[in-house]
Amino acid sequence: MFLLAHAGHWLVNVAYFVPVLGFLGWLGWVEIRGRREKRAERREAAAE
Amino acid sequence: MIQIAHGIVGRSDLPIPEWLFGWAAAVVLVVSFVALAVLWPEPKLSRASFRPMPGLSRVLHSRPVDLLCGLLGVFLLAVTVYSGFEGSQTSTANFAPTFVYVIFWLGLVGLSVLFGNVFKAFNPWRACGRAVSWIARTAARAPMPAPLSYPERLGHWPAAAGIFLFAALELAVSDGDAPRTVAIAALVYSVAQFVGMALYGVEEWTERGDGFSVYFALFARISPWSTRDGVVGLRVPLASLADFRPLAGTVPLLAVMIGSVTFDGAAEAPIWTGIAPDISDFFQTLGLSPEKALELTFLIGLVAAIAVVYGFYMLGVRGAQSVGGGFTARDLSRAFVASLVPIAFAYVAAHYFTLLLYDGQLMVGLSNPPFGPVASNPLGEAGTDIFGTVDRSIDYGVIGATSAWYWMVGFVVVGHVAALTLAHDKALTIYSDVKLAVRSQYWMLAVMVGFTSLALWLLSQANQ
Repeated sequence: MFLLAHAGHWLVNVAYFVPVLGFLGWLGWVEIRGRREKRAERREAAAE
Repeated sequence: MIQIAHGIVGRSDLPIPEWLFGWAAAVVLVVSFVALAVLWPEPKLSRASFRPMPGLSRVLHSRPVDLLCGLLGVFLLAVTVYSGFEGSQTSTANFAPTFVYVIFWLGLVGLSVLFGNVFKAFNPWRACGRAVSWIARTAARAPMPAPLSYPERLGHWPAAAGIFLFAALELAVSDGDAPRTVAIAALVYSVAQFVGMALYGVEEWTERGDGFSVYFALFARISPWSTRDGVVGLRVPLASLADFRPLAGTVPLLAVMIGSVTFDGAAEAPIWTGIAPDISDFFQTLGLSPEKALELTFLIGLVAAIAVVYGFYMLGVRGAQSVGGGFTARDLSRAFVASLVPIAFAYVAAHYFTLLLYDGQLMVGLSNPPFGPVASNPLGEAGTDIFGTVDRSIDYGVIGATSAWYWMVGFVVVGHVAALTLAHDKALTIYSDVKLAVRSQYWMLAVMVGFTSLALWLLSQANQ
């Protein structure tokens, strides 16, 4: 309740760090995609 | 007073919310990153040519100029100590605190970035060390015994410790800006430098162990002015940083440089002003006096800010390591540490720009012997007004709040783009595969975006 009442204050602070959070999210996605691709390559190589 | 000094009040006429500047800065960084990846396929900075200027070098390195600069440095140190002990004990009415915390600590950063390593010429401890060395050599009529060799593992650790202690004096010690405290600190620091120089040699210690020398020399590497084989010359700005060889303790030193400014900004933020009294109360329950409890609280805050900066950088390094290339985290942390120097400059410039502009004006009045305004100087009758400036007050109209904000955002963005460029150039040097180099920089880009957002958030906090 307290958090919601003061959301206007802390949301502005969070807004500063949205680009960082967005960027780290993107990096995480790139990392996961890279690992999936490597796993798929290994599976294909094993199948051959 | 602090808010006015930092010039961050009354930015009501900004066209967009302050946080949106952070988003715009992040976009600038991402665009710069893409441009670097496409247009900068091979290392350029470390290969940048050096244009020697032998005529200028002869003048700058001549015996009279050398002697004059050294004497001026020693004179200013002596005035700082004298006015700290003998002058008014009101901080703003005494030469010592304003000279040390504003002109020396902040002004020299700007001068170093513009004109290279000027502090080396004026360094009072180096001047004293060289003078003593010359006297000893002359008296003995023989070369002096070689000092101890500087231990590799000591690296920049003494410099990091020196800068940390200075930051703690400024930000955590309750009477850190008291003239007498400043004078005592100057004497203690001087003794430490003389011991270091006696053990390891004047130049060796100055280049590695003297915190202020290392601090200003790092900023000087941003400058186009550099010295090669004793000759002054010009290079592309940042090129000297691309050649920088880090030592043990260089990464912690940079973390201290950025972390101390971070804490200074965060100390004004509601997040800290809300939590600090609780921490202080806890220490008081352990038996500490309110003053000591508050000092310990601020010291913990300072250490935490440095740890956050160090941790965030190391997170980026670990990320870059995960890309491949066979490097250890230690290798990469040292390889990219030079890119933190423009960030440290951006933090100092953005955070203290208006403080330098406003409080720097105090020096006009404080320069009259005995280095404090007559009216409030306990020496009273001994006071002078030889420059006719003793009644001069600070002109806060020298820059408006909105203009100051744009300058600060400019410093932050330019500093981080410079850091990104350096890191990209270094990656191309150390990675054999260009694609791998660019991928490693995804993580450094994350670090830069993080430091940019943090810098702008800190600047906004003084307006809460």
